[in-house]
Amino acid sequence: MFAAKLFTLKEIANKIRKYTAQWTIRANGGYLAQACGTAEILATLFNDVLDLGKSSGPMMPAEFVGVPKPGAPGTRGETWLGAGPDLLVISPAHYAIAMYSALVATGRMDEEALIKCSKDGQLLEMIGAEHSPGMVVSSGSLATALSVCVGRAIARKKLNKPGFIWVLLSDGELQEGSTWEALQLANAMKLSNLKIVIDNNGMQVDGQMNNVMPIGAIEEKLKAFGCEVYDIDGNNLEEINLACKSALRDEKLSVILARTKPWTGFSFLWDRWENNKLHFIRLTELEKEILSKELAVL
Amino acid sequence: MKETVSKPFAHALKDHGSINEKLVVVTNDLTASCEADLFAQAFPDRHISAGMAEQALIATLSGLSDEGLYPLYPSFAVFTTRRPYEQIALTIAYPAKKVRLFGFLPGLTTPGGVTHQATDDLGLMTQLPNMTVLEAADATDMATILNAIKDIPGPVYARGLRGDVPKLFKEPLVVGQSRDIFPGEQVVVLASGSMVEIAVKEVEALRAEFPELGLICINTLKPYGDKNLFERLKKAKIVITYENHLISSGLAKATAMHLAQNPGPKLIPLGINDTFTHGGSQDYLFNYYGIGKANLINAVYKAFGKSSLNINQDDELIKSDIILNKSVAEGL
Repeated sequence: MFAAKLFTLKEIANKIRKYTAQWTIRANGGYLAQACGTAEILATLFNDVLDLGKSSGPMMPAEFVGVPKPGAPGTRGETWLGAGPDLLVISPAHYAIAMYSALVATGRMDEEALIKCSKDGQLLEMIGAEHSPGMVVSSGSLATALSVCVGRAIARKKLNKPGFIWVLLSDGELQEGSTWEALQLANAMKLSNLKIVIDNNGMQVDGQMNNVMPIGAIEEKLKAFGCEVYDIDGNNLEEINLACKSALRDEKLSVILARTKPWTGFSFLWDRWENNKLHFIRLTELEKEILSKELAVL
Repeated sequence: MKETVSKPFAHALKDHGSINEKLVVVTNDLTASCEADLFAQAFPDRHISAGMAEQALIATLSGLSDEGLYPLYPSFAVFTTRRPYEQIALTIAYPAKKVRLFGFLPGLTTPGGVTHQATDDLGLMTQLPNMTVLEAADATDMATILNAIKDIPGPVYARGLRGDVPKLFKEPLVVGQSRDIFPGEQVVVLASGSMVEIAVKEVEALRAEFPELGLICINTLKPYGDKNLFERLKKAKIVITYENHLISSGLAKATAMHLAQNPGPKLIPLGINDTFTHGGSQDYLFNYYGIGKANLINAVYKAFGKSSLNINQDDELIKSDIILNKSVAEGL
């Protein structure tokens, strides 16, 4: 049965890579590697694991009207995810383009929106805010969304609300102390309704994390904090599926440590990984040529 | 004999817990110190002990609010506002969440020293869009503030008083409304927070000599002002602001912004003037940093054009033993 699903999931993952690559060419810059690393994770979460419900956001998002005001929250990116019971929260808002691409790939937004709604005065910002489709927290300043989700999970438990809150965290956020504060509280509160997937891609702005600021034995640290940890290949659909399904049954706080390859999909990305230039991609003419060719046969 | 009330906030918070079942109180290891103890005992399921982890704590409040709860975080004002400032800005103020933040140990009211003295909390909170900012001046304020803010749709920061709190007012606190205390028109003192008790006493005495000296208590720092306050500022020749906070970002600043756009009276700002502070007894600190009663009296004399000052500030600078506050959990 899962074999039948595999085809669909692969297709969604490919589309996430494709739309993000096209955006990167169009805008002459974008967070392409983040999408390439997490395409399989996003595909699985959207299409196989979460019960998000139907999007009630328009296929073509409206223009930016204003920032939230007391009593008038304005457009909520959450609308495109659906009314639940489950919720998917992207912690590093730099993954916004990947999220928009996933919304298009899963039929929640028009492909046209990626072009029309990413201009000035529109909602599809490069680093998303909570008015951006699919974004729940304005977490461009890293390591804030997990704590917000801890609050939501505590409240849902207290109010006996069903559903799971899934947070996609990046490994870079493990350098921030507030991430560990959040894990500490989540474990103290025994939040079995909170599930974390860490995109362990080993890179940050300045380059490979081991050279910038090593974070050590992540799995052991998470276990010491009380988490149930799944160490998986984050680009392998079967492994993602198995870990997610198992995590749903955990009494403890589950963390899926997804070791991803952010160079997956396009050949020139590996060179950028080696040269510490993978975080943000402004294409050279040669790269643009390679990317366009590879997109044509993706 | 001045009237004081013991722990007015603690009782009000517990009472509010009975009225509003959505109220959850989150603490950072200062539950009794910040008078959440009675609430926590009465409603253990609605008290969350988040430990000394203020960054995550603040964002957690945002999440609790997302799901329909009414979260309140009482702490020492430095730990309420300064340490987790970015989390307040981005997860509470920006999305305009209905969250309540309370800060105790305002200004120079603690021997805890620079790490415990909140001299910039009001500045940090007033500069955040969407934030309503209040400061309580007496036990009635502390007893009624929860009711006063319950329907404000956005976030609120309130600077509070704890332990044995002087009772100055009978009427409940009203958001957006200053309290007219003495009517004189020529020189008007605008006092806030813990300065109000001193101002009431000193202005009352000074009015024998200066009947045209008035006093107003400012409870709402943001949004600033109300019709009555603006009328009185228009009539005044000199305004003295009197606050337990840095003048660059507190009451003096807010008043100066108003007066710059509505010119009229001259401003004499009494408050902490561009300096960090150190620990000691309250009277000592007030005098050392220029917000003691002598400073107020001198300012009033100056405002009425009396060149001979009647009190020398140095006479007031008595370096006594530090007296620890017996009415609170810690001697802070």
